[in-house]
Parts: sequence; structure tokens; C-alpha cells
Amino acid sequence: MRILVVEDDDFIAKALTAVLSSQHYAVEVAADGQAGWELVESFAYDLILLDVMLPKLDGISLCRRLRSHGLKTPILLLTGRDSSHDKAIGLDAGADDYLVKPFDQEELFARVRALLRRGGSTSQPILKWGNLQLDPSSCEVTYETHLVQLTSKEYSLLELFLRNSRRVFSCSAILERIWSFDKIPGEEAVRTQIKGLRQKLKTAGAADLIETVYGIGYRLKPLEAHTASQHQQQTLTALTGVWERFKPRISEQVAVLEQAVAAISKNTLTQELRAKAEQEAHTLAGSLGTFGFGEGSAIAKKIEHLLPAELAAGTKEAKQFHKLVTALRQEIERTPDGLVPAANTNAVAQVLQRADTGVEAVVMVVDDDPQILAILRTLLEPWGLKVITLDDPRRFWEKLAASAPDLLILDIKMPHLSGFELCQLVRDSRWGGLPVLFLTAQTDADTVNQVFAVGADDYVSKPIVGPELVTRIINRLERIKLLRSLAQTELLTVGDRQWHEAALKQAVTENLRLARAVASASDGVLITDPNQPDNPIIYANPAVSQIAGYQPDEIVGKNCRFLQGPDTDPQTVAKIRCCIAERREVKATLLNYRKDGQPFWNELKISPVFSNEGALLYFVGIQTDITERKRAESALRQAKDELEIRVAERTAELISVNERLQLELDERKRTELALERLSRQNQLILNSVGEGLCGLDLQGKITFVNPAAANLLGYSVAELIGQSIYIILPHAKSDNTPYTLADPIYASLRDGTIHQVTNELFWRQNNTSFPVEYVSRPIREAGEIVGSVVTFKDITERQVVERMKDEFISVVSHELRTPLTSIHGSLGLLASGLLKPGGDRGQRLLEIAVDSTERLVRLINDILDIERIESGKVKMVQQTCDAADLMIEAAEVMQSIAEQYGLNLSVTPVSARLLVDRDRIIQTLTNLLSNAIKFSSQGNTVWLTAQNQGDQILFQVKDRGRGIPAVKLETIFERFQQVDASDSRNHEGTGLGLAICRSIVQQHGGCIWAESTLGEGSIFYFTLPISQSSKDDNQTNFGS
Amino acid sequence: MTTKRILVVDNEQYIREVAQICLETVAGWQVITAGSGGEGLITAQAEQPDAILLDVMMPDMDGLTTFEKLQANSATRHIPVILLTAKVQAADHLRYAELGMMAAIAKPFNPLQLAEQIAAALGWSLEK
Repeated sequence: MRILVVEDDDFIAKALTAVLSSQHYAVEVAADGQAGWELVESFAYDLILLDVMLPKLDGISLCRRLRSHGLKTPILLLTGRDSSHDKAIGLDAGADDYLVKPFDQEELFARVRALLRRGGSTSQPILKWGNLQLDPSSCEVTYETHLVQLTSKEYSLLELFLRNSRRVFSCSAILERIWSFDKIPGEEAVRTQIKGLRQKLKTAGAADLIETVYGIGYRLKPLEAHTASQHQQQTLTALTGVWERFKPRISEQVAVLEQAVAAISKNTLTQELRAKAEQEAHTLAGSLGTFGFGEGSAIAKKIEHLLPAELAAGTKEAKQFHKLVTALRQEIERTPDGLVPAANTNAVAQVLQRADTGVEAVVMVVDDDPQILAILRTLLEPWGLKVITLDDPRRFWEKLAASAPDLLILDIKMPHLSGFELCQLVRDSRWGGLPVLFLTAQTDADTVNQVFAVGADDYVSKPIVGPELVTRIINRLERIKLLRSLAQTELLTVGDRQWHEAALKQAVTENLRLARAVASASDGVLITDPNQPDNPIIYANPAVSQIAGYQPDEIVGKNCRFLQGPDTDPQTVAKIRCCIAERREVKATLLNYRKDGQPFWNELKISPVFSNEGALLYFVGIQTDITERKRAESALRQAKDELEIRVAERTAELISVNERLQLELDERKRTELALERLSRQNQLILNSVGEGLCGLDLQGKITFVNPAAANLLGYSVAELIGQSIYIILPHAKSDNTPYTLADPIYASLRDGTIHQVTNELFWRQNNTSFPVEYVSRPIREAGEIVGSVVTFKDITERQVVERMKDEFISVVSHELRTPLTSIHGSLGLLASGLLKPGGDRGQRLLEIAVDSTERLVRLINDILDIERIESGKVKMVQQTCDAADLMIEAAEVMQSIAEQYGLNLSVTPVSARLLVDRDRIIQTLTNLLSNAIKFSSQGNTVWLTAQNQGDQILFQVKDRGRGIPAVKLETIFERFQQVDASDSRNHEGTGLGLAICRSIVQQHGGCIWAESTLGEGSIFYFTLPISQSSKDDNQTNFGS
Repeated sequence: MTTKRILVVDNEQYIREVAQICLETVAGWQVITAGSGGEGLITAQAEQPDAILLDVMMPDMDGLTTFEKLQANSATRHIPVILLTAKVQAADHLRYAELGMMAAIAKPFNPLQLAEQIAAALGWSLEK
């Protein structure tokens, strides 16, 4: 497939060439409309891709011109204009499709294929021929399932055949369709490609797909389904049909001859009958052969030759005539056989299959014999030729004008007007260039000479041999096409020359008038004579004198260079000289000098003047003083430059402003995002804050409240919004005075300062109150107070803790002051000298002081100890030990004290593996033992036993003391909670011993409790976990 | 002028002893003691001292309860009571005064001034 791309943009043209070539199309490029037109005139294309904006001749005009000249090639307009209006104009101008640039490659291919389908013989997107498939969209060829790898040219060749499956293509037709015109090789190349294609198809299994039509070219071999015999049968049937149609007419013609035979035998042959018989014989000679009655044709020819002779009855000629007519009758009575030439048969068959081929050319046939006309139609139409037939030469001109044929076929012998006469008339008419072919039964030298004498181009003898006629017609048409383009060029040249001559003639005759005109022209006109030495000026009009400031006689005779000066550009001078030497026209702008030395800008146009014979006569120079224009141009250029600079500056400014704006926009967007994030974060923070948070407006209404506040107050957030702050305030303050706007919670709204209240009550929805601490802060916007925010927290727990702390401090204070009071009192008295240390009372005071000091020391130690254990500041150093060892060691420590009190200490050690702080457990045991000893009566026993309970060990310290009241069993483990502080035996106790024991046991993961019966005694228990594995043996720290 | 008799009520034995020696030695008063609030009530009624020096922090019955009971009993209501306490805040003094206490003396007391403080509170003059 050959595609013409008319595109002035070199880049697009190259791109199109590349992409279309990749699809195996042969692509040619025309860079402007005019070049496109010339190429279309000279070559055949399957598709034209046409740009709209083109130099010289725009695409729309070219399209209109192509269509007005009857060109049917599909045209695809390619353009950057996308409006519906533009498309409508393009399509109305005759384009078949419209594609907007920048185009999508895939769409381009699809549109090209669609257009090629429209113009071609098949509408199938995939071309098939038997088992052979060609897919133009993928450029793939398959036979059965085999992929056939073809070269680009082989592919194009196959596609050409497949698209025109019934046509025979000559080598030149193939060359023209598949190769670009600038690359057309010899016909040998076609044969090479055909050979390659056949080889590849054969390898794939598709043998003999391409048939050689000898003497003409190649075509696709008809499918197996239409095998020779079937094909033949079809042809014969078809032929029989044609024959049957014309048989009565032929029979009538033979009957005329038979009438002549009868008349001869009776010697009554009239001149009229003879002429009629001769006419019929002539016709039969021409037509029978074509129908396959070669013999009949020969007989008819003989009859025609005999007829002018004297045919008297009984003569030898008369007898032969009779015999011939009889033979002719016999001949036409039999069924026509395979006398029809093969190509002819196929040609008829092709008509019957009605291949829808495009019209290559219009051929007009004039013959009085309708049989010949029918035959020619069947022969030529398959070749893409449109056949116009005419059987009456008298209607020749109207038919000629109506059909405007590319070629004329004339019969020689016709009634009313012979072919020779018609040919001569045609040659003398405006149709003079029309190729004319004669169809003649006579091929004698006289006839042939006459054929060419009347101006015909060729002749074909009857009976018509299909291939010969077709070849001649096509050759003729191809030549005509070439000749036509050449002729057009020549006509133009001739026309120009004629115009020049006429102009010169006019110049001579109107010399005077011209001279006057030249003399009064404002531009300087100079004529120089190059045939004289130094090409002197032989004429200068007054304008030259005026421009250059010289008198005419100062100018004539000089070479033009006298006008040059110091600043004249030597390069321009050289260019002018060069053109003059080469006798070419030259245009230049040169700095010349007046006689007064003033420079001026001279715009020169120098043309050579030739004689009719081509000899150089003169140079004519036209000069214009363009100094002013130059100045204006320079000023304009300067202005333009300035403008450009300003535009550039302004553009740069705009760009920078734009960039800045963009940056600002970006920044703003970032800020907005950050704000949004921050706002979300703030919301989250407010929602997550544990303290209650209330926003108030100036009227004290709640505008915002966080979930924590709502939760503390027992409302939902929604219930609080819009409510007065009174809803949560106590009905009266803690001092029973009612709330007023002067209160701190409102004060911030009024005075804009921060108010903190540490002891207030807020009310829940269920009418209960809770202690709060709140801070009220003003919210300011641009300095104005717009509201306040109240943050508050429930201080119930804190108050409890504070109370406990106060109590503890109070107790500690008391416990410390007690021994201190004794020490201070006794030492103070002793120091005063009022009492002698040696006296009884003095001695007693000293004892009190010492005892109290010891008590104070113990107390301080215990307070510090329990604080450190409970706050985790003392680490329990764990180590593996045996419970039995601990029990024994504790008992040993307490043994002497027990003895001191006159008590018996009974220990039953139980072995158990423990992971504990050894010293602390001993401390616990001794503490419990010490208590038991203190509160036992003399002679009693204190028991220390233990019980292994599997995962823990239970220690027991039992005494037979006075017992502990049930209500005190719990509190005795709290600090300073002695059962009876007034007990004299308690003096050594600090009130912290059991609290310390409990801390130590709890730190080890155990429990401590007491059981007691008043008057019978008490048992103190505590448990410790038993170490289960050796893992625990490792010394570790715990307790923090 | 007869010798003043003072009842010291304190659960701490050492404090009772020190106070007794102190008052007897410094002021030459006669001192009787009680180890608890309950004992103090009985002793006060039985002995009819000129003044009672009453500890506040005591187990079982604290000083204030003892005071109330002394006030409730017509036999002891007339005996002036001076508190001996570790709590020395101004608010406490005020409260004690409102309750009808003659004075409150902070622990630890100055042994040489104790008698003087009591005498001052009760309007007594000290005779050496």
C-alpha cells in the first residue's frame, strides 16, 4: 500500500514516515500542497494523509482540487485544528476522515486501515485467502497456524494481492504501488520479491499461491474451491450464456449470407444485399473468434473477401461462397468449445465474480457490433477500467463529452461514420490528446498505415485476444499519464516564452511610451551593456541622477561601482558580481555614495535581458533609495528590541511573582494543613485532658466543655453546652454565702485576671457535690475579653491523702514530743542545779532521760525504716536460705530477752527453701517474738513454729498473753496503733513494729495477720512463698 | 497560804514523773498523778486538787473528753484545767479557751518555767 504524506513540518513528516513504514506502507512525502498535487498527478496512491496548513497550496484547497479532478483516493486530513467547524470544512472539501494532531499512533493506524478497506476490494479487517490470513492491524501473516515471517516488501506485495484478489498486476503496477517513486527499482526487483514471497509461503505450506500470468504479471491464484474444472465449468456456463444471448443475432447475420447464396444461385443478388452480406461477414469475422469460434471467424473473413467479386451463378467463386456459408452455418450451430484463450476465460470468470475494483481509467469503445462491445466490457472491467460503449457513431460527441474517457477504442468500419473519420475529428478537436486505439479485422499494410495516418496511437486486430488488448491499453494509459505530466510542464515553459516574446514585441512597439514611463519612475532604472568592456551604464533614468546626485552624462559610460564608497560591504559587491558573471538575477541592498559624499542605502534588483536566441543583451538594474526606510527599520528594530527586553523583563517579573505566589500558596496550604492537624491535635488533647475544662461566654454560659468535665459533673457534653455555669456551682458557697458575679469563677470575665480557688464544691447532676480546685482564666481576642476558661479537678482523693498526712504528722509529732518532753524536762531540772544528780530524784531523772533518748532513737529509726521500705527506697536483697536457719537465728537473738522476762522460748524449725532478704525476715520474726515476750506473763512460753504448705511457708508466733480485742486485730498493723498505750511495758515500743513487719512481708509477696482470744493469748501468722526452682537461687533485687 | 495541789494526768509515766519532780522542786507544790483520763476523773473528784494539768493525746479517753467529763461533774467542774499538749497552733488555743480551758502548755515544756506558766494562767503567785 502506498501512502502520500503531504506535510510541511519536517519532524511530523519524518515521524509519519517512520510509523507508517513500520506498518509496511510505502510512504512518500510532499512538503507543500503544490508538490503534493504534482505527485498525485503522476503516481497512484492508496491513501493521502493531508495536513491542512500547508505552504503554496493549503490542504483544504488541495483536497477540493483532487476531488474536482475525479480522484477517488481516500484522503485523511491531519491537522491541529480541532473545532467541529474545521472538521466540517475538511470533510466537505472531500476528505474521507479527519485526525487531530497530536495523533495517537494506534488511532492513526486504525483510521488508515479503515480508509484502505473502504477504497479496496475487501471490507474485512483481516484479509483471508483460503488458509492464508493477513492481519493489517498486527502486520502478521499466518498460514493455517504457522506464522509467516515476511520482509516489508513481501508483506506489501501479499497485501496488494489479497486486497485485489482478482486482479492481475503488471510489474510496473506493482512497482508503482509498493515502492516510493524516488526509490523505484527495476522490474527485476519485483520478480525477486515475488520469488521470496513464494518461497516463504511454500515453506509455510502454501504452495503456488501466486500465479504468473505470462506476458502480463502476477495475481493471486484462484482458491482450491474454484478448481480448474469447476472454474472452467463456470466459465463455460457463462460463455454459453453470452453465446445464447447473441446466437439469434449471429444466426440472423448468417441468414443474410444465406439469402445472398440463394440470390446468387438465382443471379438476383442486388447490390444492396451484397453490401449487407459483406457488412455481416465483416462483423462475423470480428466477433466469432472472440466467442471461441476461431474457425467461424476465418470462414467469415473468407466470405467477406469473396463478396466484392463477381458471383455469378455456377461460377467457382459462387460455389465456394455457398460452401463457405454452409460451413459457417454448421460452425455456429455447434456448441462453442475451449477455443477461447485461457486469459480470456479467466477474465470472463472474473467479471462473473464481480471483483469490486476501483476505477483506474475510463475507456470509451465505439463499435457498431454490440457483441464486440459486450466482449470488451467483460475483458476490460476486471482491470479496473470503466468501459463506456457506443454502437452508434452519430452519438459520438455527446457520449465523449459525457464520459470524458482516458482512452478511445474505435472500430474502423462503421455505418454513417468510419473510425478513421472519427479519429481525425477527435485529433482536430479539444480532445486532440486523447489516446486512440483501433480495433480492426484487417491487418494489411494499407490499413495499418491509415490507422497511424489519421493520428491513432495503436491498433489491435480482431479477433480480440484479451491479454494483448489489456496490455496495450494499460501500457497506453501509463504512458499517457507520464506524458500528460511532462506535457503540462512543457506547455508552461512554452507559454512563458511566448509571453516573453509578446512582451518584448510590445516593448519595441511601445518603446516611446515605456521610455516615458521609465523616465518618470521614482525608482532608478539603469541599463548596462555587458558586451562592452567593464559593463558600462548605457542608460540611466532621471531618478538615478536624483538619488545619486550626479548629472546623467556623469553616469552613462561608467561602471556602477563608481557609486561605492569606503563603507560599502565588499561581500555584497562580490555577490552581485558573481551573479552578473553567471548572468543571473540578483537582489541586494548596498551602501552607495552620492556625489556629495553622502551615503545612501540602495536596494538593487538586477536582471539579465536575453535575446530570443538566448544571447545576453543587457542588465537592467532597478534601484531604490531606502535610506529612510533603513532608518525607520533601524528605529523600529531598536524599539522592538527594547520592547522585547521589556517584555522579557516583565515576563521574568511575572514569572517570579508567579513563583512567589505559588510558594505562598504552597506555604498557605502547608500552614492550613498544619493548622488542621494542630486543631485536631488540640481537640484530642482537650478531650484527653483529665481535668475538667469549661469555656464560658461573657454571660457565664458554657460554650465548651470537655468529656472529662462532663464526666466529673455527671452530665453529657451536650447537656452542659449553653447552660449557665450556675448548674455546677454549689447552691451556696462553703461558707454558706450565695454566689455572685463577684466570685472568682466570674471574676476573670470581669477583671481579665487569673483566679485560682483551691477549696470549692461543684455539684453533680444527681445533686451530690465534690470538692474541687479550679482556675478561671480570661480568654482574650485582640485585647478584648470574650470569655473565660475554667479548669477544675476533683480533689476528693487529695483531701483524703492530705488528711492522712496531717494525722500522721500529728501522730509523729506527738510520738516524738513525748520522749523529748521527758528528756527536756529531766535534763533541764538537772542542769538548773535545783536537783543533785547524786540524789534519788536526780538519779531518776537521769534514767528517764537515758530511756527516753533510747526510745527517741528507736522511734526515729523505725519511722525512717518504714518510710524507706514503703517508698521502695530500701532494696530487699534476695538470697536463698532455709526457713529453719532464719527461725533459729531469730530465736537466738531473742533468747536473752526472754530469759530477762522469765519466759520460755520454744522454737520448732521447719526447713523450706526461701528466696528472701534474710535480715528483714529475721527482723520480722524478732519483732513478733519481742511483742509476744513483752505481753506475756512471767513463766509463760512463747512458741515459734512453722508449717510447710507446699508453695508457701506459714510462720506462727504464739503467746499466752492477755490477748488483743477483736476490733484491734486489723488496726494493730497500722502505724502508732498500740493496743494499750498506757501499758508500761509499751515504753520500749514505738508503735511502728507491726507496720514494719507488714511492709516487709508484703514486699516478699506474703501476708500477715493475727488471731487472738482475750485473756488466752495471741497468734501472729505470716506466709512467705517457697522458692520452686534453682533459677531463683540467683541473687536478685526486688522491692522497688 | 496552803500549799497548792496539782493533779497531773498523762499516760506517759516519764512525763508524769518529770512534771511531778519539776513542780515539786521548782514551785514546792504538791503533785498527784493519774495515768489515764479515767483515773484522772476519779482522782480529781477524790483529791480535789487546786488545778489539773491534763495531757491531750491519750489512748482510750483523750484529754478533751476527760475535760468535758470534769466539767460535767459538779464535784470537779470548779477545778481549773490546764492542757499539756503537743498541738500548739493558734486555732487550737482559741478552741481550748472557748471550751473553758485556763491555758494550754506546749510539750516539750521548759521545766523551770512550767510552774510559772501555771501560776500565771491561774493568777497565783509563786512563793519560793
